[in-house]
Amino acid sequence: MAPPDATAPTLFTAPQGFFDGALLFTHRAQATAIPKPVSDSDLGLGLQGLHLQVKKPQEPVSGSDDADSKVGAEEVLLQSWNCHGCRAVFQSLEEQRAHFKSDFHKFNVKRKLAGKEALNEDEFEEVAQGDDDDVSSISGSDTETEAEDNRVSLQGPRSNHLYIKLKDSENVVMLWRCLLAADKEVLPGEKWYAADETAAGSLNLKEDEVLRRLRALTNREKNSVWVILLAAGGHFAGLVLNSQDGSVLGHQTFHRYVVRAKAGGRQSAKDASGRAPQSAGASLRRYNEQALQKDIRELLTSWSEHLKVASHVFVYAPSSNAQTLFGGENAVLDRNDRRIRRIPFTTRRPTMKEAKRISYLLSLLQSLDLDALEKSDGVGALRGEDSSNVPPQSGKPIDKKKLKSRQVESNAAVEQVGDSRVGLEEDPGLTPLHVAAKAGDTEKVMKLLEEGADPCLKDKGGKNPYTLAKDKETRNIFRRYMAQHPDKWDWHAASVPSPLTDELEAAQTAKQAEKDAKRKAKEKERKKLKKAEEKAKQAQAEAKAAEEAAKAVAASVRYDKDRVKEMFKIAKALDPKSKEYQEAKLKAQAQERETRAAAAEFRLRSLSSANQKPASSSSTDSGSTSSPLQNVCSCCQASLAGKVPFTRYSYQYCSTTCVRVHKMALEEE
Amino acid sequence: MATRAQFENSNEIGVFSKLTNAYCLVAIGGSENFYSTFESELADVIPVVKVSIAGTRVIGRMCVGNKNGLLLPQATTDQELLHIRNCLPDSVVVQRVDERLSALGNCIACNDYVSLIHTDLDRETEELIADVLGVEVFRQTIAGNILVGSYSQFTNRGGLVHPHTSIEDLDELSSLLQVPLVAGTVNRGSEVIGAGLVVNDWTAFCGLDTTATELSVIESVFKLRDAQPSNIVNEMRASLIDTMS
Repeated sequence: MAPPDATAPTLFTAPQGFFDGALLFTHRAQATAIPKPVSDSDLGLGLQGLHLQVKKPQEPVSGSDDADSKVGAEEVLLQSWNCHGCRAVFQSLEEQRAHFKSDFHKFNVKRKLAGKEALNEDEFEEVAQGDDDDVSSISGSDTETEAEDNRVSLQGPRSNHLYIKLKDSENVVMLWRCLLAADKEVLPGEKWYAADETAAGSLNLKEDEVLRRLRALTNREKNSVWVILLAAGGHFAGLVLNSQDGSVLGHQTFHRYVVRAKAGGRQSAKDASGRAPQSAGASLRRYNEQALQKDIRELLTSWSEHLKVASHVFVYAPSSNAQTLFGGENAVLDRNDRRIRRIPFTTRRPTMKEAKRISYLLSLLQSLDLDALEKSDGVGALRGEDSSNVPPQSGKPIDKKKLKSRQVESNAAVEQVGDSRVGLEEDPGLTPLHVAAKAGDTEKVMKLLEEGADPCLKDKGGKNPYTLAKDKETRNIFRRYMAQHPDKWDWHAASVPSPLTDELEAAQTAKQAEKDAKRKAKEKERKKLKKAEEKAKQAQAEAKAAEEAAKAVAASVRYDKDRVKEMFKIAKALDPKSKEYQEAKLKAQAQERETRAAAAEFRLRSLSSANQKPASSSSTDSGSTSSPLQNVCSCCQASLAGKVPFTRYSYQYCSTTCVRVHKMALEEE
Repeated sequence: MATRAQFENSNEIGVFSKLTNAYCLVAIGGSENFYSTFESELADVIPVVKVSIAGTRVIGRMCVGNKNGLLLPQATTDQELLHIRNCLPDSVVVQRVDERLSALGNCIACNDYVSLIHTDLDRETEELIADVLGVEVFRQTIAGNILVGSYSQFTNRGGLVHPHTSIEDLDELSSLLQVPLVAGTVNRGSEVIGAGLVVNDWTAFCGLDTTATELSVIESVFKLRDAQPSNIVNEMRASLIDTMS
């Protein structure tokens, strides 16, 4: 921010009635849309599009005080279309031009050349009817209807500034909006909605009210006062100044230790968060907060006279500081007071110097240079706003969406012109190649590269398109292009690691195919193995089941054997000649027969199962390997079914004779 | 840029030459120096043609034109007309006007869009001006002078008018013509602007007597400081692109 400069015009230095006859605009575009001279527009568009200018109509004589309405009547159209000779004023360029072509005007021009006074329209009508020689034709003469639209058509989004076109000057002066209206209030034409009608009156300001306030800014007769109150972080600065000449009527600053060192934030804020520290420092800060509040309130009470007459009270009191000014039962300021205005720019630590700076900035009349504006309308238009014209602290809200779409369009436009480097406001280094690479648009990347886009350019983050590329395919485009044009760019600077030639690509694909085949084969084998394993498992489970069954049978057999032995024992113990002995012996024999039969049955069963699955027979008994017929005697070939075979080595025999015979036969071999 | 020149010891170069955005006419028979001044400045942009009108060399005062056309007085011979037609671009319409006030250059001031004319010109002439030059026509005086062509000079970018023009008249004219106007002089205080100065959208020639101050006013009001044909095209393109977007 520029330091207070004695030469810069401010409200304090502006003469009485500075704003008389001025036009007020809420939007910059309107203020600059005055009928500016046609530039070399060969398009023929130059003459149109300039008629947006909104004229301030004659002030309607309102029922307000006399002085005001008088000044209102003096409001003259500043930038208007008029005919000096005929003393006529027009609403538009068309009207003015029509007038200049009319017989009435020509008649007056001739009269003037002859040294006579110009006639008004009525006199002209009479002359024209009375003497046809004087006027060749009156058909073209049209009467100017001065139907005034008494509304100020102010349009556009809300901004922190108002634009004022002064009466006898080409300049447009920029004024802070807060000088004329509070945040809650809505100026005519602002597309902004007032929260509600309040008891104090409508928040939608009327034109005459706005104009009254504007005039009051430089009304030297009235003694009005500005109060600037800044409170933040334990600092307070208050300044009362005469709003007419900027002289300081009173000032006071306070500083108390309230902010927790290093941790930041006020002690009260920390206390409110739950745990209130009981340290010495904490209690010191608590005390200081209260003391500061007391100081400020006392000061403001002593300034109550100033506050009563103040036309504006500019307040900067963020968060809890506002409580000091507005809160409590006997609050010094009323939040709903419309004289209370927010300071519309960033302020520094509340000090006397800062308060003075704020008063200077608020009163500053910044004039927009029309020449610069014209330039920005033409050449600079592509880049949007000419930043040099924007005052540094203008917090003008820019429609970001609009800006973006504008950028996109300008992007397209510049591309059409054939420039590969697109000047985006956000990032001057971002090229279409970056965008295409980031999006993974391979075709576009190739096209851009072929058109000569530089892949070495870096964006804001120092990244070139290759680094930004979305996927391998996009990166390959760069590498392929590098293979085709190895010397076109500094590929090292473009971060492209190596060229991708056709052979290399073919080799790569072959390698990939081989890999794929290998992987497939492996997969197949793995599947096969899995299947076999499953089968083996099943077989094992079956075998296990069979074994268990066998075990069970064997157990029962053993049990039966034990019983037989017991029976025989009992029989032995008995008298051999007795009847009981006979019975017991028979019983034991029957039992033995049954046991043997069960064992035989089991053997048969296991045999049949073994025959069904010869594949899994590796683990079955070796007897079957030597002779496929297991249930026959190895010597006489008689069936062993129902018999308990005699076994020697892996052979089975029906009788001991067979065993001996077969043994001898084997020995002979 | 504005260039100083002299025609056979006369500073009234506007009398002996006619400059528009599409062509430049210079009087025949002048010193080669005068012709080459124009030639060196304009030759590669627009044709510079040596002509005479009605057997005279005061061509600048006899004819009026802009990029769309050229109006010649009735006294122009057929041979001269033919020569001019042959030398000017095909897009420029060349027409003879049957008008009592034959010094068209003194009676008419125009740029490519608007023109001011002498209040006593015929209605037929007025229509012809509108048709051939493609301009809107206004009967007007400048600071009480009816010879608007002599006492003013304006292009599409700006204009210089008689030094006695009042501020009100300046405002009125400027809003009518839609170009910024300045009241000033040429040739060390001469008020006949039209005679002392020929100008188009990117260059100007004025009499050798023109002071530095006058030159600087001329350059600033006609916006000649960085005006080159290519700049104008660039500006047009920029505004065109802006319009498209």
